[in-house]
Parts: sequence; C-alpha cells; structure tokens
Amino acid sequence: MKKKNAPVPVAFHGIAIRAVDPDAVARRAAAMLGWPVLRRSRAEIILGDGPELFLRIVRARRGENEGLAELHLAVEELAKSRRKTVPDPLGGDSRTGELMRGVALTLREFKRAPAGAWKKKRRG
Amino acid sequence: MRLASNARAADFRSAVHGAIFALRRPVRPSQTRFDAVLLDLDGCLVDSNDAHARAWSDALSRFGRRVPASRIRGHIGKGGKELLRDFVTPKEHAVLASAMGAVQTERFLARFRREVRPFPGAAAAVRRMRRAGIAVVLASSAQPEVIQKSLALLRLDGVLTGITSAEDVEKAKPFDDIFSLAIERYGLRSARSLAVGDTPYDVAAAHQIGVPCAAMRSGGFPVRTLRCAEHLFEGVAELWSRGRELFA
Repeated sequence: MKKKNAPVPVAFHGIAIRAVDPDAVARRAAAMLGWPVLRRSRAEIILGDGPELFLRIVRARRGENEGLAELHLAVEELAKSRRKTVPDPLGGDSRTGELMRGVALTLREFKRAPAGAWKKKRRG
Repeated sequence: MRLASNARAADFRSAVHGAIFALRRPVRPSQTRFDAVLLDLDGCLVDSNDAHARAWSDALSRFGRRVPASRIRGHIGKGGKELLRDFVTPKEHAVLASAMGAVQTERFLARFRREVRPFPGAAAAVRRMRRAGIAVVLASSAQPEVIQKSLALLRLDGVLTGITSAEDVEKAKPFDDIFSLAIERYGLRSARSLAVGDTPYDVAAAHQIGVPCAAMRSGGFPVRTLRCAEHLFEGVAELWSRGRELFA
C-alpha cells in the first residue's frame, strides 16, 4: 500500500557512475547503447537524448572507488511530501538523499523545460 | 526501466479501436429533442486551435524537439498526453509528458491575448440555450486555467450549467471520460444529450458512449474528418439559429 504523501514512482531515468577514465567508459557505453554525447566537461560526460534517459560518467577523485554514484528516479506528486525540493537544470524539482555510502538517490518530478545543455541534440 | 503506465498504452490502443469502430457505426439521428449540450471550448466558442498548435510546437522545441505547428494542427482536440504520443517516444512520454503539457499551457496563455478570439455569436447562442432551459456543460480537454481565461473572454462566467476539464479525468479526448463525467456529474440523460465539438476526437468520444454529436466546422477540420457526426454546422451560432428544432 502506498504511504500517505509518498511520491509515485514513474521510471528510473538516469544513472551516474564514477570512473577513473570517463572517456574510455563513455566510448564503450556509446558504442553499446548508440547514445550521443549530451554534454562533456573535464569532470563528467553525459550520454543520452535528454533528461528523460541519461548515463552520467563522473571522474573519480583520488581515493574514490569506481562504481555506481547516483540513481535518478522520475516520480509524480513529489510536492505533496513535506520535505523540501529544489529546482534543477533538468527541468524538475528534485530531492536527493544518500542511499548507501557513495551512492545517492535523486527523486525528480519533471515540471519545466530543461536548461539548454540538457535539450535533446539533433542527430545527423 | 518503466514502472508504470504500460496499461495506459493498452487503454489508448483499445480506445483508438473503439473510436474507429464508432466512426464506422455512427449513432443514427433520431427524432429526440435534446435538453442538454456537452460543449467543447477550443474551436467551438473560441478560435484557438492554431494558437494551441503553435504553443505545442513552442513547448516541444523547448525540450529540443522540432515539430512544426502544421504537423500538430490535426491532433488538436485530443488531451495533451494523448496528443504527445504521436510526437515523442514512449520513454519521453512516460517521464516528460506532464512537464511538456505544463510548458504548453504556459506558452498558450502567453499567446492568448494576441491570438485567441471568440467566435462571433457563439457566446450569445450559449446564453440563449440557457435561457431556453437547456443544460450546457463545458466538456473540454483544456486545462482549468485555459478554460477560466476563455470564459472570461466570452463573458460566460456563471452562465454554464457546469464545467469539466482535463484535470477531472485521467484520460481526455478521444476517450469518452470527459463526456461521461459531465453526464454523471450534472445528472444529464445521455439519450437527451448532444455533444458539440469541432474535431473527429469529439465525435469519436461521443459515439463511444452512444451520444450523438454535432460537429462545428469553425475549428478548421476538413469536413471529411467530421462526416460521422450526426449534424454539421458552421459554428455554435448557426447550431442555435438553424438547428433550433433539435432542442426541446
């Protein structure tokens, strides 16, 4: 039974992994999935079509283990819960908590258009 | 990974099949005189279908999808989530449909003052219907803010018997939910109710529950797409002037 005021899950829409060599991981992931690069910086590479489904590869800092870093879950009715949400550049209001050491879970209710960097890129 | 709404896709397919079936088997016109009207808003009372199409095109472009308004125009009249199924992938639909709908409403309201005009004589015809004792329920797939603004433009606040909007139902047109809810909520008799709309989706939704439909050409849909409606008029003003004998 659904807990009162609990957000309604829609879909997992994003995942972040920590890697020592993000470029190599991004190349392998792009080859397997056929996803375009949505944005790229020294700290991270994001593959996907837009905020609705993405893979983020973040550079592991010294002392950090490689592996899962974030899970992003799209939900509805997030605003009903009392805990505070923050607007994010993906076009949602979100709330993030630590699921286990080094792994964060972000709940996101999409409400707006995403910021420019998160828009779907035209292919070809 | 999808956790929900596969059932909705199946529902949609069955409704489309139902609509096609309904289109093939139109409700036969009868001698019934109607005492209630289930009235659509966009394309019937206000000339707003083009503005809706442009607002959808704007909204989709803000998500990085380029869809010209001319491609969207023929889908206006469906509820937002149903309309989007033809322009985005299932995964985009599952996650972003609500946000896209919210942006479309925002874009439409921004265009409203410049681009939306009442159809001449439509609001007056509604007032005359009400004075004649006919129940008029606004049964629209539009969002409540859009309905409120349109009614203010038409000066129909407080005139209508009732209002149902996209927010009142899970599935908007071409599903029959809006018409069914209007009939149930306002205690109307479906056998004495006439749906009035401007799109094939209004006709399909009405026929799914056995309610006859009067199609208005004012919405700009080709007559061939409206041919299954029992009655065809230029607009709501003509429905009342030339179709007066349809009503009790």
